[in-house]
Amino acid sequence: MGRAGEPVVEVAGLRFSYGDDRLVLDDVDLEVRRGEIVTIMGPSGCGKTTLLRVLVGLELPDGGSVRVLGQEVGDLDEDTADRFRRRVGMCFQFGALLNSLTVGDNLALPLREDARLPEDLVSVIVRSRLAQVGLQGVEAKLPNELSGGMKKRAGLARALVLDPELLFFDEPTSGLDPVTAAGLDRTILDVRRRTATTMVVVTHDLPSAFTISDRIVVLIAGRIRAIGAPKEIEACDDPAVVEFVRRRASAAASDGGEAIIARQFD
Amino acid sequence: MEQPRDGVVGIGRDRLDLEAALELDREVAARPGPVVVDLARATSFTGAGAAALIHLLRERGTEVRFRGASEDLKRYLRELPLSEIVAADCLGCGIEEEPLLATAGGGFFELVAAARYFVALGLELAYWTVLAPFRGVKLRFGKLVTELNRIGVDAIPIVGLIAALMGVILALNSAGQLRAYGAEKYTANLVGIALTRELAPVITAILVAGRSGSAIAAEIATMNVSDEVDALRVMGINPRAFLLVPKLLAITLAMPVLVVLSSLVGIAGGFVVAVFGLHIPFEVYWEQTIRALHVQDLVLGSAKALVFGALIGLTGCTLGMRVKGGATGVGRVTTTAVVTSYVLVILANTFFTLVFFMAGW
Repeated sequence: MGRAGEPVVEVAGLRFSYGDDRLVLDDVDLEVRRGEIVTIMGPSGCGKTTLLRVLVGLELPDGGSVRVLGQEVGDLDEDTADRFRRRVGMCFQFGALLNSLTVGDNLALPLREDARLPEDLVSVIVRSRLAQVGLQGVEAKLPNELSGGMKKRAGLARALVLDPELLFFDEPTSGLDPVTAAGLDRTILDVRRRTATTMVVVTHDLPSAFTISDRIVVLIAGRIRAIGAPKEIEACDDPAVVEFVRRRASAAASDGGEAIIARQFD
Repeated sequence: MEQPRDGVVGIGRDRLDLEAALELDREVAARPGPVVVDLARATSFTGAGAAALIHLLRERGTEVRFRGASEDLKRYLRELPLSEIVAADCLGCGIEEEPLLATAGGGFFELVAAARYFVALGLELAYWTVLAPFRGVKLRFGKLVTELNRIGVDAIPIVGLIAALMGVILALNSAGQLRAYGAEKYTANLVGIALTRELAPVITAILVAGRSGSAIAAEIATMNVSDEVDALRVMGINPRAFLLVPKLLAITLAMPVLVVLSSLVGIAGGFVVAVFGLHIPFEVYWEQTIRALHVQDLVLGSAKALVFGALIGLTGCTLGMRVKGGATGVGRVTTTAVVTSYVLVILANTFFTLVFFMAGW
């Protein structure tokens, strides 16, 4: 682990498109420092999941520089990519547990890649990680036997199993009821308190973002519109940010609708 | 519908629902020029009814005016991004069809990319079977055994049944023809050679493609669309080594065994029909079979089977890894995997037969 406060994610001038002309990410600059929780927030389709996939090396950027844990992710070959990825963890939106394996085997999978670990130690790590996210006694269950919230917790436990320096979350609370979502937020904060892991969270869940984040990034139509502490985002006067954050129709949109009603409805 | 005054269309119901809206739409469409829609009678509305008013705004623009709309209805419309919906060129509910040339061009590039992936995967398979054992790289034996069971052992009953029936059909047909020349005993030669060299490899390949090629494509595609493959990548686990290589190795190794088995069962099927149905003496049939068949035939049949197995496995894996779209994509790659495997197997078989023919094997 490095010094607290040093940058672990450095993105400069990132551009990305999915093969067609439409830019999904356009000139994105971002820095995440060790130990902080940064939330990338924005409406559906704004490019936040794509940004996460670029950061973790699942997509290659079209332009710009993306350095994560000191590595340029665009330049990773297969071997270095595998080593790099073992230093990061990722929680997928729907857990992405391997459905053919039990929950326990899912967690044990990355551990068993390291042939030095005896099976007994693997099983202790698995049990303790599951306990850490509030899941006990589910080792022998198949992922399909778990509820949505439990799958997400199991996904988090699997991401934690290799003690990552950097943890990515894709929509951790989507599809969960408010109580379960708040529970997951507490788990995330709890993990950070115990392990000081740096976390990058992608979400459009406002209460969750304001609860867990040290800093919030608002991404709209592939561009970063605001970065700052939750209070700064709340006070931001960029209309697009206001529309999203305060869940209010922007002045422009409501005026357009109002104009039609004023003009054509007596 | 109320009797309307000139340029005024009134709603004939208390509730502005889809039925009322359709009536309004017809009335308004029948009147060119400016028109006023009187909504005063409607004390309640539905979402579809309100949507029909927006449709009128889109169709007639500023020519249409509404009067007597309830405050509820106005509030509902205000909360919608009304100006955007009214101004949008196309609401984009239908799936836009791509121009034919773009589809064909995209298809061509996808084919080239898939072919490159297929070749790269083939080289990787060669690495894992030929080089890796000498470099001390760990092969996932547990997974290989599971896959061998699934692809090989579980296929034995169906492969055996079809092979036996093929033997029966071959024996009956050939005996019928050969009887005319008094050469019935050569039924044994025909059944033995046709099965070991041609029919057993091809029929087994077609069965395995339908059973396991499709299953491989569907399983890997499903894992792809549910992010499981990405999860492996993020854990630093190479999905090709972890997922694909055991399946590829298993199908490549299982095929020759299944083909040898299928040849033997097929010959036995022909034997039963010939001896008990056509009354060719047991010793004659046995002797003819032994005389006609050479080890070379079984070896050539097995060599073909090895290649067919690799082709079926590589097709399933390539298509599964390159899936696009959710459930539709999985269905599409599954059927494409089977059809592509059939075509590749028959092409490869033609190539082999030509080579063997020219080499005099």
